Order: sequence, then C-alpha cells, then structure tokens
Amino acid sequence: MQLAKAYSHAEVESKWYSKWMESGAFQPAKNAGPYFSMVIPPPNVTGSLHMGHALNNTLQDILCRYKRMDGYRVLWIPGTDHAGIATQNVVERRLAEQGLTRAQLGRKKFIERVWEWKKEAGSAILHQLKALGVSCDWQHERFTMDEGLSLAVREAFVRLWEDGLLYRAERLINWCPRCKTALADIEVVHEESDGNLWYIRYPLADDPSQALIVATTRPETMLGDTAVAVHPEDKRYQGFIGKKIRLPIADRVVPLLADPYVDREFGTGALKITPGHDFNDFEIGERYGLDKISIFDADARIDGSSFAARGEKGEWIQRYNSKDRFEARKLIVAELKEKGYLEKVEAHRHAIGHCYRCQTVIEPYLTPQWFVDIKPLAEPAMRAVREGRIRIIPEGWSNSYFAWMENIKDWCISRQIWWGHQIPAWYCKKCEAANIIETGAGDYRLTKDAKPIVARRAPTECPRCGGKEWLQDPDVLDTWFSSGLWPFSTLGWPEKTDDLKSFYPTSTLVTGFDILFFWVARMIMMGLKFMDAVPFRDVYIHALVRDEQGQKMSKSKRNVIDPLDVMEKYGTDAFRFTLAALAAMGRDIKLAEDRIAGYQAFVNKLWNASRFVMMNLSEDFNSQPSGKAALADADLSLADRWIRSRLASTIAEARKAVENYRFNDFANVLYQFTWHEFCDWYIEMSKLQLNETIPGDSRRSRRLLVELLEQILLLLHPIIPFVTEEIWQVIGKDRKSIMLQAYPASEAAWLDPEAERRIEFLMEVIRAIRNLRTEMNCPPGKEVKVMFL
Amino acid sequence: VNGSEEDLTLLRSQEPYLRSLARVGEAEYLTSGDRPKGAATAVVGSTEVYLPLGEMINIDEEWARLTKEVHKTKDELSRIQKKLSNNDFLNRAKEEVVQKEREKAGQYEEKIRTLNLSLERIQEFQAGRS
Repeated sequence: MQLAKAYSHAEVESKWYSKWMESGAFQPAKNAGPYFSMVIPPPNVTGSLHMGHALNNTLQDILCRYKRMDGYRVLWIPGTDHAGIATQNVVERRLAEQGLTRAQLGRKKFIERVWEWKKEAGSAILHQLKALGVSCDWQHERFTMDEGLSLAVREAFVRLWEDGLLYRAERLINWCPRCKTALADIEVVHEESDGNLWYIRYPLADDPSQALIVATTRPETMLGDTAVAVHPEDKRYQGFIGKKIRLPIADRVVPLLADPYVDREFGTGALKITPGHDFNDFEIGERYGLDKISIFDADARIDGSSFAARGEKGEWIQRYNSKDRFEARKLIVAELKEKGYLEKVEAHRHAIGHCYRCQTVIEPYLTPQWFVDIKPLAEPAMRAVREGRIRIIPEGWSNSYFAWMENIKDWCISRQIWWGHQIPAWYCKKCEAANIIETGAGDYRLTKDAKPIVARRAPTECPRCGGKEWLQDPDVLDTWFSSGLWPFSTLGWPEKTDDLKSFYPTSTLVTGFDILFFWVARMIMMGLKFMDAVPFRDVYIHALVRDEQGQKMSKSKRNVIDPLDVMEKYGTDAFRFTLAALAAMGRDIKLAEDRIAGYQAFVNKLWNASRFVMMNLSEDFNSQPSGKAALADADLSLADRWIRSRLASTIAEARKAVENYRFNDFANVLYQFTWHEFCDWYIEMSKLQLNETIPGDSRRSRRLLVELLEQILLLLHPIIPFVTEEIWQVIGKDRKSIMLQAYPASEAAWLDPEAERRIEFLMEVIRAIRNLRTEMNCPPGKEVKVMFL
Repeated sequence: VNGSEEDLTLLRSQEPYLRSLARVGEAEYLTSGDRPKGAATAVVGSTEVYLPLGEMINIDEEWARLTKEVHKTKDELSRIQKKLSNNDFLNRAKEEVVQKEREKAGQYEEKIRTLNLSLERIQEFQAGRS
C-alpha cells in the first residue's frame, strides 16, 4: 500500500479510462434516484479537439461526475455532427489531391467517399474527448446521419409540412458562389470594408436630355434593374414621378416609383431597384409587382440567358455573358464612363456579407428554396424562457436570445450540397417534366413551380398521372436542422422509448454563446414543437478561451495552445483543473501555459500529501471507503476540530458553487482547502499527534488523516478524475471506483467557529515569527527564543 | 494593551506547534512588565511577539553583513539615479525602459530603508546590552 515516489500522469490516465469504460461506470445507474441528463454539443465530424471543446467538455464532465456521485442516474450522450458544408469541403479537398472533382464522381459515389472518410477519420475527435476523461455513455453514442437520427429528421420534416409550417418558394437568399449553396442569415458574416459609391445618370425615356442621378455600390447589378425609386415627398424629383427611365447599357425602360421606403439622405435620394439581387429591393419588387431578373448564374457570372428569356436583345448581352461579377463591375463602370453616364465616384465604407465557411462574398440570389415558417415556433420558444421553464445562465444572454427571436425571419433550410439529409420530397417525372432541369453529370434542379410530394418514403404511384418514376429533391437540409432535434432524437424519438421517458427533458446544456442562435434556439423551438416540452431546464453559456493577453487564439497569430500537447506535457488533470479554475461566469479565460504548470504542482502536492498519509498507515484499508468514524469522534484535538470544521465549510461551499455553475469557485475553494489548510498546516500539525508530542491517540490520528484524505479525493474527483482514482485505489484493495462513491456531505455538527478562531490565531503567530526570522536573516534551522506579552 | 489571558493560555497549551512550525526553542509568557529591548517585534491581535536578536543571530556578523549590503545597494541606487538625471538617456530611451529604471530605484530605496531598520534594531540591542 504505497504510492510511487512521483506521479506519472501518462500511465495513470490511460489505465483508468479504459477501466471505467469496461466496468460500465459511465452508464446510468439502475436505481430509482432522480436523473441528470445532458447531450454533448456534437463536435463536427471533421473536428479536432481545440480549447473550446476542452473547456466545454471539462465543464460538462465536472457536472456529470458530481451529479453521479451525488446519487443521480446520470446519462451524458456523446456524438458527432455530420457538418454538411464543412465535411463536403474536406472531402472535396482530398479528392482534389487525387486530381478528382465532386462533379466527376457524381452524387452517389461522392457520398460513398464521404462515408469512407468518416469511417476512417471521423472519430478522431471522440478519441481526443476520451483522453480528456469525459464520462459519456458511449453505448449511447450517436451521429446526426445515423439511421435513427435520419429517421427522426425525416419525421420532423414531414410533420412540419403536414402542419403547414414548411413551404417551398423562390426567394432571395444568401448564396455562396464558391460553396454553391444557400446560407442562412446567421451563416453570413458581415464585415466593414472600403468600397465606392458610383453616381450614374439614368435618362428619362421620353427626353434623354433629362436624367436622374442614382448612387450605387454595385453598378454591375444595373443590368437587373426593373425600376428606380424616390421618396414621394422629395422636392427634387416632384416633376419626374410617374415618368419612365431608359437604363443605360441594357436599354430597358423601367418605371420611376415613389416609395416612402427610400432614404432621401443616401446618395442622391434616387434609388435603382434590383429585386433579383438586393433584399430591400426584393421587398419593393413584391409590393409593385416588378420583374425579378436573376442576372447571375450559380457561379455569380453574368447569365446572358436570363435576358434572352425575357426577349431582350442587344450586343451587350453577348459582351457581358459569363463575366464574373467583379470583372463585370469594372467593365460596366468603364463603359458608363466612356459613354458619359458616370457622374462621379466617391469612396464609401460599408458592410459586406461573407460566407462563414469560405469567406467568399455572398450574392443575394433568387432560387427556389425550402423555408420553415418560424414565427409559430418562435413564440412558444420565447415564452419558455420568459416563464422560467428554461433558465439561461448567465442571465444576460436571455436578452440576446429575445432580441434575436423577436426579429427572427423564416428559416431557409435547404442547401445545394450533397452531404446531408436529402429532403424527403419527390417529384413525378412525368407531371413535372417541364420543371426538371438537367444540369449535367446526372445532376438536376427544380424550378420554383415544381410541385413536391412530401412523404416519409418515396411514393409509389403518382396520384395525378399514375406515373411510377420519381425524382427526389436534390437539396439537403441545413446541418442545424438535424442538430436542432438532438436532445430527443438521440433518445430515440420518434419512437416512444424508455430513454425518452427516463431522460427527457435533459437537465442542462453547456455550450458557447456562438451557437446560441444556430443551435440552442432551434433546439428549444423543435423540442417544444415535437416533444411538447422544453429540451433542457438550464442552459449554461461559458466564455471563450483566449491567450494570456486576452486575444483570440488563431493559427495566424501563432498563439494557439493545443489541448493535446498540454495534456501530454502537464497531465490531463492539471489541464482540467486549470480550465475549471479560470472558468469564471461571463468572463473570457486568459490561458497561459504557466497556469497549467501551476496546477500540475497542485496535483503533485496532492500526490505527495497522499504519500505521507499512506506511509503512516499502520492498518490495511480494504475495499470499503474509510468513512467518517474518526471524524465523528467527540474528543478531538483543537487542530482536528479546526480541520473538521474547515472541511464542513469547504464541502458546503463547493457544492453550492458547482450547483450554480460557478466552476472557478468550485475549483478554488477545493484548492485552498487542500493546499493551504490540509497540506500546509494540518499535515504539519498532525505530525506532532502521530509522534505523540501532542498527547492523544496516535492511531486515531492516522485514521483521521486517511478519512480527511478520502474526503478530499472525493471532493476533487469531478475536476481531476485520474489522480484521485489512482490514490483511491491504492489506499484500499479492490475498491469500487471513486466515481461511484457518494459525494461528501457537509455536517453542520462539524462546524466549530471557536476552534477555527483559535487555530487561525495560532497560525497568525507562527507566520509572524517566521517573518521576523526571515527579516532578521536568522538561519532556518536555528531555534529562537520568543516572548509574548 | 497586553495580550489577553486567553490567547496566552492558548499559545502555552499549543506550544509544541510553535516549536515545530516556527523553530521556537524557548517561549516566555509575560503577563506584565517592560517591553523587551533589542528584539524584533510583531503584533497579532492584542498579543505582542518579541524575538530577542541575540538569540537569533550573531550580532557582529549580521552588523557587518547589513552594512555591506547597505553600501552595495546605495551604489546601485546612485548609478540609476545618475542615469535618470541624464537628459540624453531620458530623451532617447523608450518610455518602458525609463519606467523600469524608476521602479528599480524605488525598490532599492525601499531595501535601504529595511536594512537601516535592521541596523537600528541591532544598535538598540547593543545599547540595551552595554
């Protein structure tokens, strides 16, 4: 019964994780106690463990281990997200290395390649999470595209359709011309950048000598203008309202509208209206029934056929056909200048939307897409938070939640990629022949007029023509559609499973604020819709991990700390303790490597203190925990009563902290007690009891030391699981894992303010003598005389 | 105001801790009388703590050591002060560098104060002895 001289984290960590897994310690207990359940925010299957994951999962694991020890039936469900665009991009890059493209392979083969890749590389992040010590129930592991979850997605989609909450419509959406897919509003990153404001002459159709000057940041879109608008009360334009304008270059005659939406202060107060490529203009276009011309193709190159289809003619169509949007801008400005239409150019700073995946400039693009009618889902989701059925912690985030939910727009859920849940809508090849457009390589798209049949499985016979050939909608669902179902799909929905009955609603969700809208809000809406109950009671939003100067960690700044590196170097326990100790609510974590080294010293301190305790043990401890027999003794020494009182306060404070998500207080209160009270003082004091310099029962003193050490191990286990288990198992033979022991309970009877006051006074005196000795340069070993007055 | 009876009793009863944790060889509990001269002093609550210097250190050696240390520190200080009064340096050096030198000067001044305090204590002790 001896501990090794030095703590070797590598050896200990690998040993215990597999033992825990094999023994089933991560599975929910089969008792009748209350439950505590969580779903992991599923990392992208393409992911690799970064600081954000490490913090997120350490905090979740602390909660799970604490609750499990506190008598709850704990279920923590792990899994990964198929991460549509991200994964497709990764596999496309790998194909490119072999000189292949997605188009060359075709949809079916490409998807096979993605599955192959997933099988081979997709679980890397899960292995990394295991190294972190997470106590997830791996028997419950899920993937957002596994069979059960795919079934759940299909069921949810069909039910939304049946309830009239889904529609397919041609709308202006955010289009990424590189990823060639629609993006939801929140997938667009707006960045301020320097641009120009071009002032262009738009002559009147019946009198070219008169003209309006319009100002625009995107002159190339004038090829798609179908009106010009001014404010109805703008004095400058009173004589023009109702007249017609002849567009330069396109030579199209368009109306001049008067609409109060126009901002008189912007540019000249005369606005070109391009319903096919501007969100505000689209709204005006809807109001006035204007044509919406989509002037670009999916690559954001000028699409000459869109003008030809309107019966427009002119050599300009040929000239601009296939020109990239930015090249077209240059050419059009040059032509305007040459022909005398360009009045002036002003520098202009404005926000431009970019794709959150690849940073390409977004193009507002007119395409048929699938939308969720979101208001009927958002209302109950706001109520749930307002009425306190869901708590968002820290509370400040509730305001962000409400602000976003109040302004929520219909959710565009279709994506024009291949990797994901293909939309369960089918089109009869015969009835819809006119609406099916082949786009090459077996690919196709459907016009806005195509009539889908939404169903749980492919229809057999067309109700209209009896046709038996079907085409499934080629679009896939937004990744967040499936992760929005995660808290109940992972528990077996739509089946009515025991898991759902036992563990839904989940107890707590731990996540970062960056996915509050992407994910948290969607889960709330979906949970209320399909389960008629909130998906979780508490949402704990943790902060970001930054570098020691408070800057965001990024590869380009070379300030990234790789969790796996520091886990290897300092030990996972030291790393976990650091994250917990720095996780103050609502404050970003400034992480420096020396902090981790500091907490490694703490782990070593605990190890060495345990070594001392165990070297003094005269009896063998067996599989049973040592319990609290000596702690409960009535006639303890002053020092014993002091440490027992401090233990009782520490337990109470630690429990209160972790239950209120104050992880830093939880870690720090245990650190203080362990290091500065137990190790620094009590162990030193106990030496005098062990050698009976202080009269008393030395056997009981030994007993007491072990009991105190075990209480400390139990208290610390949720944060530093490996080292605590190792020591626990060396104290007694064939013990049940520490993770299945009861969490210490504070005993009010142990509180002893008198003993605390006295020992603190004694400690003050000892510190004073030590300081004077140091000040006077007294040799450390020399005994001194002291006088008290 | 002397330490309370209770606190002194406590110290007396827990004396083994003083011996082992502060290397106290001998403890005296004075209930009245003059304050001991030539001792380093601290106050904890209402209790005064005295450590007679003669018991702690070799007075002559310590006097020599402290005097030497004061000289050395004064030399360092005057070197920095010279630098800080040199306009050339002030104009050319970066603000952080100047700031650092100023901080250093402050630290040396503080160190000299403490050393002198220790010297005074020894003087006081010797005055009491002679």
